This record gives sequence, C-alpha cells and structure tokens, in this order.
Amino acid sequence: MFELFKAEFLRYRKWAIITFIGQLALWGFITKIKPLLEPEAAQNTLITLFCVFGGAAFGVVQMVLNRRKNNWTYLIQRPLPTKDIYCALSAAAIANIMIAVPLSWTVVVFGLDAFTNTVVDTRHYVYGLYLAAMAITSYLIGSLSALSASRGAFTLIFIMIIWLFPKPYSQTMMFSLMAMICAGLWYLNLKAFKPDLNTHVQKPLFTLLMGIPMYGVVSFLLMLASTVYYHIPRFVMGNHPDNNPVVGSMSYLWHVDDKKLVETLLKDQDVKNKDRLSRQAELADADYIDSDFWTYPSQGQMLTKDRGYGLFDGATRTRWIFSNDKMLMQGNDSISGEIKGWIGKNGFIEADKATDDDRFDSVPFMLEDMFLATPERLYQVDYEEKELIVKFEAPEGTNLVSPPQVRDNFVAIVTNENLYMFDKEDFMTEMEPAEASYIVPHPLELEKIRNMETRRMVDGYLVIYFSRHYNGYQKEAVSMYYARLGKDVERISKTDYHISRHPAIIENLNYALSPASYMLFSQIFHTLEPSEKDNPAISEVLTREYQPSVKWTALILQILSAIGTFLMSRRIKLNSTMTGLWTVMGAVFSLPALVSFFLMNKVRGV
Amino acid sequence: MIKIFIPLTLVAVLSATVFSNPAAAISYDEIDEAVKASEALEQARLFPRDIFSDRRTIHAIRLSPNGEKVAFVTTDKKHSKLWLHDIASGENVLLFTSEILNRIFWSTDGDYIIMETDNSIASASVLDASSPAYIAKIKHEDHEIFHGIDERSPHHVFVSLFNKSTDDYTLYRVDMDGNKVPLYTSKDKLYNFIAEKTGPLKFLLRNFGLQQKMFQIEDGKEKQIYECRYDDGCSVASYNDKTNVIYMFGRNGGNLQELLKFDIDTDAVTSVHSEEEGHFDIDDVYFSAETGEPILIEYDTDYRESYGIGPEMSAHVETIKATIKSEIIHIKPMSDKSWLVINSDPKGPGHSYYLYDVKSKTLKQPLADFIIANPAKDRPATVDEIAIRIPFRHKASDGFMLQGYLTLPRGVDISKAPMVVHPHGGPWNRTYGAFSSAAQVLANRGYIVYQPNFRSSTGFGRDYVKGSNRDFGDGRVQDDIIDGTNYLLSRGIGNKDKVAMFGHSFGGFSTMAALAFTPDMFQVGIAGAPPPSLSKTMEYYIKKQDQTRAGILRRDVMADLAVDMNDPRDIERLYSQSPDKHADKITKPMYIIAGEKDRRVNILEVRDYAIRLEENGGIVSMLTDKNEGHNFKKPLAKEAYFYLVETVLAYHLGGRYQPLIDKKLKRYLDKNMVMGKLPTIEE
Repeated sequence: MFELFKAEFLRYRKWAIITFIGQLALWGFITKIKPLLEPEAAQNTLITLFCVFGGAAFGVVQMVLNRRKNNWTYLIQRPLPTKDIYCALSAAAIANIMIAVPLSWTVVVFGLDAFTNTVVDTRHYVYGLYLAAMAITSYLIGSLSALSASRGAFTLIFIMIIWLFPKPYSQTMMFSLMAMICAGLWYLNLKAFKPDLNTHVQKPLFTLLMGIPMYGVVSFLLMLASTVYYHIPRFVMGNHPDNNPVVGSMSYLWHVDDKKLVETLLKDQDVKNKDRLSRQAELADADYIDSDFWTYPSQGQMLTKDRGYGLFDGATRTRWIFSNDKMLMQGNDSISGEIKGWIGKNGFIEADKATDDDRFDSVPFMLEDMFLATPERLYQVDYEEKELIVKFEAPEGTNLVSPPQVRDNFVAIVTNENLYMFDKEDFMTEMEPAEASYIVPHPLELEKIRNMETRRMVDGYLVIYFSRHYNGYQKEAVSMYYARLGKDVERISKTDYHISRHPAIIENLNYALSPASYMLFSQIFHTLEPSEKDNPAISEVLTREYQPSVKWTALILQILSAIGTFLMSRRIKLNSTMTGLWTVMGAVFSLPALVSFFLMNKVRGV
Repeated sequence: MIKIFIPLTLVAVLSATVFSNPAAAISYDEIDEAVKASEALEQARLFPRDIFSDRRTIHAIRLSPNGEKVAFVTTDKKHSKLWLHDIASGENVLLFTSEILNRIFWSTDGDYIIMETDNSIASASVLDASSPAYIAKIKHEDHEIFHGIDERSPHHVFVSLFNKSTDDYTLYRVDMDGNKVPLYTSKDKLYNFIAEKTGPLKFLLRNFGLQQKMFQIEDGKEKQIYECRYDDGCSVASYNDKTNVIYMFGRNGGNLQELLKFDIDTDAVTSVHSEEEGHFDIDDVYFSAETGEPILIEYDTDYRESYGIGPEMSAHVETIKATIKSEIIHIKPMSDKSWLVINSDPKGPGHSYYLYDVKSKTLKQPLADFIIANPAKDRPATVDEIAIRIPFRHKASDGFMLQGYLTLPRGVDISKAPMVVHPHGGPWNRTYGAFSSAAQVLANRGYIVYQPNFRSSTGFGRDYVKGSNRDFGDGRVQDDIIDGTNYLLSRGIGNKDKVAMFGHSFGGFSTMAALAFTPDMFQVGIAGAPPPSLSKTMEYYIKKQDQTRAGILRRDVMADLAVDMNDPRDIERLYSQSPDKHADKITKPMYIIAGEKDRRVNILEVRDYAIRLEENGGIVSMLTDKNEGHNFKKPLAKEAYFYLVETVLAYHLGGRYQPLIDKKLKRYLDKNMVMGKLPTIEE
C-alpha cells in the first residue's frame, strides 16, 4: 500500500513543488506591493478559484488517469483490497495538495511573524489549513465525479458555497463541519472506488450522504429555472412586475419617485394636514437607512472574512491592526514597521502592561480610520490625545446591529430596538461622546424590517419603515413616524399591503419545492452565521404562516415525488430497503429527491 | 405696514463684495471727555473670551402684523427654537426646534410664520400650531433666491428658481401650500420689482452692464421709465396706485442715497427724505400697506436714527426715543396696534425688546422675564463693565473728512495704553455704531481700539466710496487708516510704541499693508483671512461668484471700484502697491489666520505669502483650519481665533489675556498652527 502511495505521490510531486514555488513567488510579490494579510478581493478570489477549481481538476485528472482501461485493470487487480488502493491514492493526492496549497502560505506567514513586526495571529496560520481544506474538499468532489456512476456527482461542487459565503461566528464549528463533509466525501469516494465503475452504489448510507447535498443543489437549480418557466415568459408577455408595478403591493413603492413617496403612502390615509405633509416631503432631502444585521467579526475568523485591515493615523503614519490573539490594537509605523503602541478597550496602553480588563471583549469593525464598532459600543480613537472615547453605547439589553451609517445630513446608528440619529458634523469631528438628536423606537422587530427612509423636515425627520412581514409572514406594511427635535416621536400613518408582487408560490419557491431541503440548508447556514436574517432557523420557518397555495403545492409535490420515486425504484428493481429509502426521501425532500433519483440511478429510457 | 430693505444696488453690490467684517458711530469731539471718563472708571473683570460670541438670548424676533403675537428664536447648542409669545396672555409657547432654521417672517395676515432654512422656505400655521412645512426649495448652488414676503398678499412669498432645461430664472409667487405662479422669466434673475396685489409684476429693475433700468409693465409690455448707474443704487420700493407715484431709493445724481418720489405721469423725481446732517445714506423705510406711502425712515448714522413721516408718526417716534433714551433703537411699525422696538444701545451688553402700544403711546418689555430666566451666558457682561466707545471725525492728510470709532479701556492711563487698529473688512462695508464685541473684548484686555471708516467704506455717500480712487495697498485707503492712527496718537491717545493692527479679510489686507509700508509704526500684525493681493483675490473670487447680490457682473463693478481685470496694466498697477509684492519689507511679527475652505480668499495665495515672508527672514506664524471658510463659524475655531489674537497682543503689547486652560482648545491649536508658533507669555 505504501509503495502505491509513494508511486502516486511521486507522480504528482513535481507539479506540487512547482505550484508551491509559484505560490511562494506570488505571496512574496504581493507582500512587496501591499500587506499580505490585508484582505483584498482580488487576492481572495484568485486563491479561492485556485483551490476550488484546482482541487476539483486534480481529483478528476487523477482518477480519470487511473481509470483508463489498462491502468484500471492493473490498479484494481493489485493484491490489495480496493479500500487500501483508494486510501493510498487519496493519501498521495492529499499529501501533494498539502505541499501545493498551505505550505507556501505557512512559510510566508512564518517569515512575517519571525522577521517583522506585522501582526500575525494564529488565525493567519490556520488560514493555510482553511485553504487546504477547501482544496481537499474540491479534490474529493472531483475524484468522486470521475469515479461515480452518478451523472450528478459533479453538482456537489456547490457544497463549496458553505465555505465561501457565510461568516461563521465559530471557527471550531466551521472546521468541524468541514471535517465532517470531507469525511463524508471521502466515504463516498471509497464506496465509489470499485472494480465496476459503471454500476451505481446501492447502499443506504451512500445514497443519503450523496443525496442530501444533491437535494440542496437541485433545489437551487430548480429555483434558478424559474427564470425559464416564469420570469422570461412574463417579460416576453410584457407583464413582468419589474416593468409593471403591481398596484396595491409594497413593491409598487420602489417605482415611485422619492418626491412622491409620502404622498403615495398617505393617499388613502386619514391624516391631518396630509396634503401639506405630502407637499413638504416632496421638497425634503431624502435618505436611506439600512436595517441589515451585520455579522461582527469573530475571534480567529479567516482573514478573507475581514472587512478592513485596520485604522490609519495619517499624522503619525501609524497603522493600527487588531490582534485577534491579544485582543488589542497594535500600532506599527507604516514605513519602518516599528511598533508605536497598543490600544485596548480602556484606551492606549503599553503591550506588556495590558491586563485582561484592557482586552477587547470582541473583535471590532474598524471604520473611517477612527471608529471601532462592537455590538455594545462604538469607540472613537483620539490619536492626538491618546484616548479611546466611547462614542456611543447601546443601552443595556440592546446592541448595535451594524456600524454607523454616514449620510448627507446625519449619522445613523441602528440597534435592535431603536434608530439613533446624530448631527453629522459633531459626530465625525468632535472627540467626545455623541448625543443623539433623535431616538426612534422601531415599530416591530428589526429582523422584520426591510429598511428605513428619511425625509428631512424643518423641525425633524419623517422616518419611514418598510416591512415585508409587518402584519405576519409576507403581510407587508409601511409605517411613517415624525421625529421632531426635542419632542416625542409621533406615528403618522401605517399602510397595509395585501397584494404580492409575484404569486405566492414564486415568492416561496424554495419552500414549495422542498420544505425539508429549504429548512435543512437554511439551518446549516443559520448555524454558521446566526445574524444573517436571510437564512432562518428551522424553528422560525415553522412559525411562518405560508399561504395555502404554497402549502398545498409543497404537499402535492411531496406526495407526487414519493409516488414517483417509489415507482421508479420498482421499475429499476431496487431492493426493498433502497425502494423504501427513496420513497421516504421523495416524501420528505420532494421534487429535488425525485430529480436526484434520476441522477443517482440508471433509469432506462429516461 | 411694509418694511422695505434697500435692495440697493450699491450697498448690495458692495457689502457682499469681497470681504466683510462688521464693526460700529457722532460727535465731533467727544474724545477728551471720553478719555477723562474712561480713566475714571474701574477696570472690569477679565471677560471670558467667548462672553460676546453668543451674547443674545433672542436671535431673531418678529411682531405679527396684527400686533397680537411675537415670534422669536432662541438657540440651544446647534439648534434653533421658535417661540410664540402671546401679547395678551404673556404666555410663551415653544413651537418647534430645528437644525436648519435661519430667518423668520410673518405672513401679512399673521396666520403663518414663514421661515428661511438652509435650503428651503417653509411655513407654519399659527392658527393650528402645525408643524412647519416646506413651500419651496432653494438651491443656492443654482443661485436661486428667496426675495421675501409678498407684502400685498396675505399668504404669499416670492422666490426665483432656476430652470435647468431652459437655462433661465423664473420669479414665482408661492402660496403657503407651495403652489407656484410664475410672474417673470428671464436669463438674469430679477432682484428688484413690485407686483400688483395678487397680480402680475408692475415695475421691475434690470441690469445692463453698470446701468440699471426701471421698467413699468403694462399689458405684458415693458416700458422704460427710469435709468441710473449702479452706484446710484436706484431701486423701486413702493407704489401708490392712487397718485401713480413710485417711491424709490437712489442718489438722483447726488452724493447720498435717499428716499425719492418718482411721478410716473410727469417723470419728475423729487427727494422725500434725506439724513439731516447730510453724512449718511438711507438704510430702511417702512411703508403703509394700505396707501404705499412712507411712514418711517431709518439711517445708519454714527449710531442709528429714525424719522417718522408726518406729524403723527413723528410724535410716536419721539415718544419712543424719549422713553428709551438709547443711541440705537430699531423701530418696526409692523401693525396699527403695536410696534416692535429693539433697543441695541452700544453702551449696553445686549438687546432689549419693547412693544409700543400705538394707542396709549406706552412701552412694555414682554420678554424681559424670559430673557432673565434664559440668559445666554452664565455671567453676562453688565453695563458697568462695558468700555466707552465713541465715534469721531478727523481730517485725512489730503483734507478729506473721515469717520471712525474709538473704544477706550476702563481705568487706565489712555496716553500710555497700547492701541489696536482694527480696520473693517470689505472694503465696501463699514464699521457701525452698534455694540462691537471685538472692540469690547480688546478694550477689556486693556487696549485702545481704533476702528476706522476709511475711504471706500459704505453708508457715507458715494463720494466716500469713490474717494478711494481705486488706490488700495500702498495708497489712499491705507493712508486713511494711518492718518486716523496718527491723529489719535497726536491727541494723546495711546502709546506710539505699542501699536498693533488686527483685521479680518480686507482688514487683514490692511494689516499686511501696514507692516509692509509703515513697519516702524506697528509692533505686530494679526491678519485674518487676508488677501495678500487684491487683484489675485478678485480673480479668484470672480471665478467662484461672477455676480454680485444685485446681479451685476462682479468684473464690471471691480473695474469701477478697484481694478480692471481685463487690463494687464491696471492689474500690475494694483499689484505693484500690494503687500504681496512687498512681502520682503515686513520686519515685524505677522500672525495669519485662514480657513482652507475660503471661497473669497485663496488659501494657496495666503500660504505662498506666508512662506515667502518666512524665506525673507520675517517672523510669521499661521493658523489654518481645513473645515472653516472665510469667517470661522464653529465655536471652538472662533475661540481659537480670539485666543491667538489676545495672546499675541498680550505678548507684544502687554495687555491682559485669558490663559489657555481648555484641553480642546489646546489640541485645536496644536493641530492647526501650521507655521511658527504662538508666543509664550511668562507669568
């Protein structure tokens, strides 16, 4: 087995070393033109594409070369169990991947750590491991595509989305999940690696492990397909809502000019002085406030998830970088690299005198070269006086859901309970705690609010809340408040909308196609990144009151899929266990399971 | 009753011109008496630097046309609060607070308060205490303007808005709901007009180069009825349709601007009223809303003078003057029932507000309690702490009679006291007789303050303005300042070895000129927003704003008053006598303060001048603020400005000063002193 491993390893060693040297040169070059550890979209994209497609290509190439007729016969007839043969091949491949991908990164990071004052954290070393895990996952998917008789194995490449998009709040959880997926893929490869590569593996565990991720991919592709069977036909017929605002839906407002929005909202409302209000709103400055929850950086997160590299103090040319290991900001001279000082949550300190109380409780967002935002506080760095000012502190029990939003006339801070609006000039220039000019309590849970808009009046602001779920799931409404300087906030109006822009099934296609698949994958993403409200937990989905058409469609598709998988299983003469399994999967995972059935089985005539 | 500001071309043209700095008025020689009186006074405590920076509780006040309510504005940090005082009940109601409120007006029926904000006009109904509502958007970047209230209509204002598609301006009459009626469209904005009651325009004034033509509009056709040169400042003010007479401002070929009557039927122009002493231009006139006839006229004299027109009005005015006994009284006869009277006595530290009951001829102070309860400062200056300030006249070296103001520090030997010469900005502006914060704080520090109204100052007639003979820099205008300083020194006012000059804008230019051309006379100069060269600054300013407030091309006006920007020889003439050209002659310390966002004086020119001064071995220090413009606005920036002034003067002339105690101020100075440093005074 070791001989096979060695032979396979040597077969690709040269390429691995070339890749290592090439990457080393690339990292060295990047280090010359910018800080290597500074997040940079191009750099991130390049290395990600390399790992994903390089890994997948390697997996495909390795197995395609091995399964060439003579090679395969020679390989499979070795006096070794097929399991050992696959172990030797995959271990050799993974060993080459470890040389080609993380080694060069680790060498460069070690160099920065050992020979410069650059802030190098454990996470920077771990990033190499993260890259390796990505490449190995892709490799395993590539090799599975080459080995498996399933026509849909390649679609598992969509699993990589889990690594690329969420900002996991726990690195341990992310790596655990990565490890589980790699183990699962390795198992699939192991089972697919058999003398007759043209037959499908008919084992329940194999089917489950390959099927479940495939349902997610198929669901996604079926949703994309709505472009073909819904959107394009409506565009062709000239009645697509994008071009034909649906009167009576909240989406109609997106087509209304900013100047006419308030008038439109008040049209059928019984509001005192509504004509005057409408006319002045027409002349008022309009602005937008985002209600999105930002995922705050987590300690030890991969550097590709960082939103910024640090704060820069132009006067002293000092770059302040947050050390995840120390939970302090470290200041380095941007030219000489000399360490200029440290900032903890209590202000400027000397590194060796930092106590646990000085360390930040969480990794902050770094903004505008002077602000540090954590969920509880917004700090402002006064470089000249060497002070850290608590610019804003969320009241107990509340937290900032996003960093401050700087607009033309104000700065907005959104917490999960209130909207705070500050005088822009004071906020940005004064080195002292900010006092909100307006505090507007949110009319409903922030998770349900789509966004806010403002209109600047003579004595304050009109604040308009848009919600898709104001009155319940997908029961839209818009409410308007008058925040007057020095006075209580007054509710002006609430407009309910009872018509949806698209048919309910299209609006909830992910659920209608497969409630189980939708909930499962949404839950996975939610578990990784709980603050992302586009990925609800299963418990939240279960509380939704879906429209009857959605529920009936989902149910009918589940029944039909169960029947379909049952009949097909019988037709291709699967054993009773597999027939039962596919029928249950059809009943649970609905249409994606039925489609997957055809991808994972050889059905004559289909 | 209708109050007409002189939309005067000359004042509008000139006052907005390049650089402005306010300041304040007579007796031909009260100097000796004032010196004796001042020396006999006790020294006042050391005022805080900012004591006069925001000294008023009430920042704007208007009496409703029906005489029943007073609207007034107070400020709270950066916010303005609009209050309504009910005269009958004495109750004050806070209507609302605003971040953007600037000026307030009443609709002519008193139903609405109309507000000018940073970029809009808004109205608020008084009847139902509604929130203010925008009625028109004003884009200053497109040179759109708010003309004011339509005095002949209960609920209308006039605005000129720009049409991008047609590249022209339309004058609209706008009602309280924002409905607009176009009245006149042209490529150039209208600045001066009279409209018929709720109808079309009746008279208008248009610019043709430096000529201004007055037209009467009949059946949509314009007929020229009068013509004047821009420096005559003719403009229509009121129309009496029964007598077919226009009241207008103008000089009618003479020296002083006055109220004129133009008989449309006969084309005859006669003077209605002119200032009694024959020194001053007219300032404000109030007309009867019913007849269009003038009822009250005001002049900025050495202080301020009001005249009632006709026996009844004269009697009222005299009653008010006799009761209040103040040098400066603003009388606003806004209703038949009661008038608003503002006492701005320069001998007092603040304003007081009166309501004059027309029927009973009595005065009362409805907001006195409010002001006491809401003082602008914890410990405001009192009448007993204010320095004596007097106007005086003297002959210039060429025999021309000049006017200026002298402020004397309390309780010191005036012959030995240091002197600060403080020329005003503009130069087409003037120092007024009103309370002068700068002069009072400097006098409090122990300095005699001389504020000259040199030739080119406005308000003293055309000859005074044109007497400068375009001779800025090393020329007539600077000579006037120096002549005035020498005159005072010759009268035993001040120690000739302790004289400094401090000026802002054109005053800063004069300061640079003083140190360049009369270096032995001044110990130090402090120049705020100073243009080292007027010709370069004119060029820069014209690029930024090519028209005056009255809509005349600034290039034409400048050619008449200072330099012809189309004539290289004229530019060279002015430059050759500028401080910029003679920077190498400066030997005394120069302190410069400038805002990097200055749209009038190019900061690059100022920096270049300072660097050259330093290279020539001069002692120069400079403070610049990247967020401030021509005039510093933020409180901290203003305080830093005056801290620099008082510290420098204390170091070089030996007066009192308030030490640096505020951390924020220190930090500001550390950050913004970009050249040199502030002197350290050893205790």
